[in-house]
Amino acid sequence: MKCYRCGAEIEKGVLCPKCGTDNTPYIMILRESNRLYNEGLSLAQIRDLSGATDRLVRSLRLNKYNTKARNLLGLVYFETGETVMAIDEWVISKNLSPDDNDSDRYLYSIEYGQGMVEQLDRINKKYNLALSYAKEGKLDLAEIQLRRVIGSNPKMIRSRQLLSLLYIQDGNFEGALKELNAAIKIDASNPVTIKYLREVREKVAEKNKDKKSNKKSETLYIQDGNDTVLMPRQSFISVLDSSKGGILNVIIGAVIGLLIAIFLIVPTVRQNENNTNANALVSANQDAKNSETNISTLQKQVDDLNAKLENYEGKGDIKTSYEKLIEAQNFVTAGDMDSAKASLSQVNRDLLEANGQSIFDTLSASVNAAENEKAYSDGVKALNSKDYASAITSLLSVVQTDETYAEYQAMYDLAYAYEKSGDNENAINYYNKVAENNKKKLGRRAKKRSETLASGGTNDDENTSNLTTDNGNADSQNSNASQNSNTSTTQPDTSTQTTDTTAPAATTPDTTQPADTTTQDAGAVAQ
Amino acid sequence: MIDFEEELKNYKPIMEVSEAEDAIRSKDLTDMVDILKEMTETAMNQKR
Repeated sequence: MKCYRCGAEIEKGVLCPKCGTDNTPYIMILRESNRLYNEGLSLAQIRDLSGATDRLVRSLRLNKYNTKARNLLGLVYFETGETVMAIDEWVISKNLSPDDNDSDRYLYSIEYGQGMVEQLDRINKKYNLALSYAKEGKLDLAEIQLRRVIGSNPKMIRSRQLLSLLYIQDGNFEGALKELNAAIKIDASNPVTIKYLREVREKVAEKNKDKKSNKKSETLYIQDGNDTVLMPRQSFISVLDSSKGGILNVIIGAVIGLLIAIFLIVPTVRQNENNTNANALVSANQDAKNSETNISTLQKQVDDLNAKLENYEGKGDIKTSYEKLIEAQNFVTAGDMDSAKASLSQVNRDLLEANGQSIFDTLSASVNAAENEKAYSDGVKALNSKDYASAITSLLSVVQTDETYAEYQAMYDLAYAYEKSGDNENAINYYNKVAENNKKKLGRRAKKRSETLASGGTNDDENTSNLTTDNGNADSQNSNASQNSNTSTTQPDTSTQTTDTTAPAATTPDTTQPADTTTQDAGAVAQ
Repeated sequence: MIDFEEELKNYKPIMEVSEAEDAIRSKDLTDMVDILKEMTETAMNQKR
C-alpha cells in the first residue's frame, strides 16, 4: 500500500515511514469502497442493476481509482442501454489506470464492432426524437419511434418505460404490462419500472374485476322451509356465454341446421330427382317409340327380303337353272309335262338371260296348257258325275291359270259347279265375268243364269257336252238360250221345251248337260 | 395513480456519442481520498 499523502510505500502498519501520516482513514475509505464494489457485484449478478449502479457509484465516490468498480459500472450501464455512459466510464477507467485494464477490451469491441458506435448513436437520437414527440403531445409518433428503438436495442430500459407510460396514458394497459415485464427482466429492481407495474396491474385487475362483475350472476334466495337456498341468477345470455351453454349452443345450431335441411335442401333434392326421373321416362318412351318405328321398318324390310327370298327358294343358281331349263324342254318334247313342270320349278327365271327367259316362258305355257287341259278334263268329268267339289277344285285351277280357257267355257263350268254346290255368290261372280267377256251364246246364257240366281231363282241343269258348237252358232244358240229361261216365275213354254227335247242332236244340240269336250278342248287348245 | 405529465418531466434526453467527450471532461472525479488528502494538508498547514 502507498501513502495517500506522499505516495511512499507502507510495508507495515498504518504510519507512513516517510511523512509519518496516519493512513488509517485512507485504509478505511479503501475498505468501504471495496465493500461497496462487492455489493454492487452481487446485485449485478442477480439482475438488480439499479442497486448495483448505486453501490458502484458510491464505491467510486470513495475511491475513484477502484478500476474494477468503474469497469463494472460501465458494464451495468451498457446492459441497461446507457451505452454512452458506459463508454464514459471505460474511457475514464482507461485514463486512471492505463496498465492491464479490462476497459481496453470493452472499448475495442465497441469501437471496431461493425459500425456499432454509429448504430448506437442512431438509436439514441431516435429515443430523443420520441421523447420530444411525447412532450409535444404527439403520442402516436412517439410510440412509433419508441417501438423502433426497442426493436434496435431491446435492453434499453428507459425507452420501454417511456413507451409503457404512453400506453398507460392511452389506456392500453395490456401493452404497458408487456413492456414493463420485459423491462423488469433486464433490471429487477428499477424503481420506475416497479412503480409503473404496480399501477398497471391495478388497472388490469380493475378491468378484469369489472368483467367478472358484469358476468357475475345475481344470487337468488329461495326459502324452502327452514332452509335458505342460494341460487345464481343466470340470464339467458349468460347461460349461452357459459361453458355449459356452449353445449346448448351446439344443440341449437344442430337443430337449426336440421330444420334447414328438411325444409330447404331435401325438397330441392327430391324435386331434382323427380325431374331426372321424368326426363329419363320421357327419354325411355322416346326410345321405345323409336324402337317401334325401327322394328316396323325392319319388319317391312324383312318381309320384303323374305318375299324376294321366296323367289329364290328351291331354285338353283345360274348353272342349275339352265340345266333344269334344258331338262324341262326335253320333257316337254317327250310329252312328260309333270316332269317338265318339276324341272321348271327349279329354274330361277331372274338369273336367266333374255333368251333363256323366253324359252322358260314358252315351256311354262306349254306345261300350263297341258296342265289346264288335264285339269279341265277332270273338272268336266267331276261335273258329269255331279262331284261338284272336285269339279270346283279342278276348274278353279284352270281359271286361275287362264281365265279365258276355251273362250271362258272353263269359267262358265266353274260357275255352274258353284251354283250346283249351293255357292250362289261365287256362281254369280263367275257368270258375270263370262257374260262380260264372252259375247256369244255362252255369255248370254251366263247372264241369264246369273240374273236368275240374283233374283233368288234356280236354273235348270245343263248339258254342257255340246258347248263349243254353241259358241260358234249364234241363231241356234239364241233359241236354245230361250229354252233355258227362268222357270221360277213363269210357266215353262212346253212348245219350246218339247221342241228342245225332241229335236235331233245333230242340228239342234241339247245344251242341258255339260259337253264332254275333252277331245274337242284338247283340239281347241292345240290350235 | 401515475401523473403522465409529471412522469414525463423525469425523462431526460439521452447522451449522444458526440457529447461523450464533453461529458467526460466535465465530470468531477473528486473522491473521498482527495477530500481526505486536502483535509490533511489543511490541518498540517494550520499546525505550522
